[in-house]
Amino acid sequence: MIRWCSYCQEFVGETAPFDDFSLTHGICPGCASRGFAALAGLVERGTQIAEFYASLRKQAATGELLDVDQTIHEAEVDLGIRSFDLFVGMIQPLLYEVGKLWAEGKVTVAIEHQFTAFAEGILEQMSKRMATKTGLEAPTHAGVLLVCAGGNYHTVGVRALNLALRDAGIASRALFPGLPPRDIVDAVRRFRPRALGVSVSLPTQVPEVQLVLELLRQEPIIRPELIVVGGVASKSPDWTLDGLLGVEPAPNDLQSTVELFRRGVCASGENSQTPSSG
Amino acid sequence: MAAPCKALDTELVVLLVDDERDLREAIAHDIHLRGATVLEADGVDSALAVLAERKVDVIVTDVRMPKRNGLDLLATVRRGQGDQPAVVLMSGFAEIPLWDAYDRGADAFFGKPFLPEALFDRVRRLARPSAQNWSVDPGPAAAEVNLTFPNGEVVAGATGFTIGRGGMFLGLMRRDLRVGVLIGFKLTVGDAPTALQGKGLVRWVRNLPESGLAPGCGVEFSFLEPDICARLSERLAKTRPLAFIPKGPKLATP
Repeated sequence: MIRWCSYCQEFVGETAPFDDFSLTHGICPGCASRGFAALAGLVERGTQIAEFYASLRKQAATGELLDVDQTIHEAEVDLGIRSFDLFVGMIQPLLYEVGKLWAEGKVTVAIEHQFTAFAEGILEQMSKRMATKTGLEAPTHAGVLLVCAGGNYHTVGVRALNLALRDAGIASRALFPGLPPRDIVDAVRRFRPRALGVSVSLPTQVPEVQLVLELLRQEPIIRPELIVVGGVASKSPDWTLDGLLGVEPAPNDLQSTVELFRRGVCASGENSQTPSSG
Repeated sequence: MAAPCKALDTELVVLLVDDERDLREAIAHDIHLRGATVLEADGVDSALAVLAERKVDVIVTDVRMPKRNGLDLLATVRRGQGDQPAVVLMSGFAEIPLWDAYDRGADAFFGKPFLPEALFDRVRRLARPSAQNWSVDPGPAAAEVNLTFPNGEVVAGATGFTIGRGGMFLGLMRRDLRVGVLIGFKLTVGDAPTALQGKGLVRWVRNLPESGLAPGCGVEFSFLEPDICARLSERLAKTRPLAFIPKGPKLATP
């Protein structure tokens, strides 16, 4: 579940069950330490944000056309919601909710596709804005490379992680949708990342990752020191890393995943044997 | 004469159920400072364990929790004849229709974020006998509803009313019946004495054919005329309805 501070209206983190992308509303440590007397002004804003979310939710489920720029403007300018929080705490849960409605036959596939396109539009806009802000649009130096395993067309998670890494000041690049193993290795050769993240949406995509690992073993000079495998499939209790030797499982929550990559990038940055310095 | 309320909050025992530990602890601390005893639970199972051990005056529960939700808790409590008033905490990103939750045994709602002071005021009010809460006239109403239903027939677009523990479903759609508005009402059926007269707050308005339910609004009683209050309290003590405000009848099929 996604933890959300109902007072400052920001993403707090994730909590079990991790394969449930609905929101649980609590209070973040910052707001808790301020005390309720200091939070009175946030209650009215919370009501407005709840109305904004309700409107998004209704439009998502009924297939009304949502405008990306207008939504971001309303969230950021009118309500003061950070675009990252807009995506992680609002769009992402709705994406899963609409997907569930489609699976239950309650909305058409057209509605599901339409909302997915809207979510991708939001990500695209956020990515552009963040690039302007941080100058990380096309990091040529070693950092993190995120890819989807061959056959994985679920790109939202990778894109959200990419933004979270950039938000944390880590040079990151995401390639999607799923790439064949040789293309992933070519991308590693080209970008020389210190850490590689591979997203897997179905256990059947694991052999694709195994092949990537095998190809990288044959070219140790370009092999990133840290290879992380995660994605929707890894959030299932049935997930296993059997057969994926030498890789790290992605933690269940976004913040821990960012920290794992940060440690990986920093550790290899101090290593004189890193491809970028060698 | 109405039964005395709990004069001292130290007598008031509140069960607070929320899986979000930080928020639960912060609210519990605040309520404790106001003088009540707060028992905490992080989910439905632990809440039921507390209820089995301790006498609780009011339950305050989050809706969305892993495994089982707050309405499941209320259903289990009510099935076990537990009749404590219950305040339901919702995210503000409401996942359930209010009429459904009021119908399933919730007495009040708070959307997160809220201030514990307001929550505690509500908890104290709910801990008092209903008749006492209905004894003080809250002042002028913003709208008036005067209806007589001869032989249960539809009158001027109104399909009738259904009474719950703390309010009623009123099968009437009117522009001035909006959420949060205090209305005055006088409802009569046939030649019988006035069935219901008083004032109440509109808690929800529904005109949603896809819900399969009749259009209308949910009104929480704020004040009832003394003789009606006495009659209704007696009746409710006998019938013990589950719904605080009934969600109303299904839409008539054409």
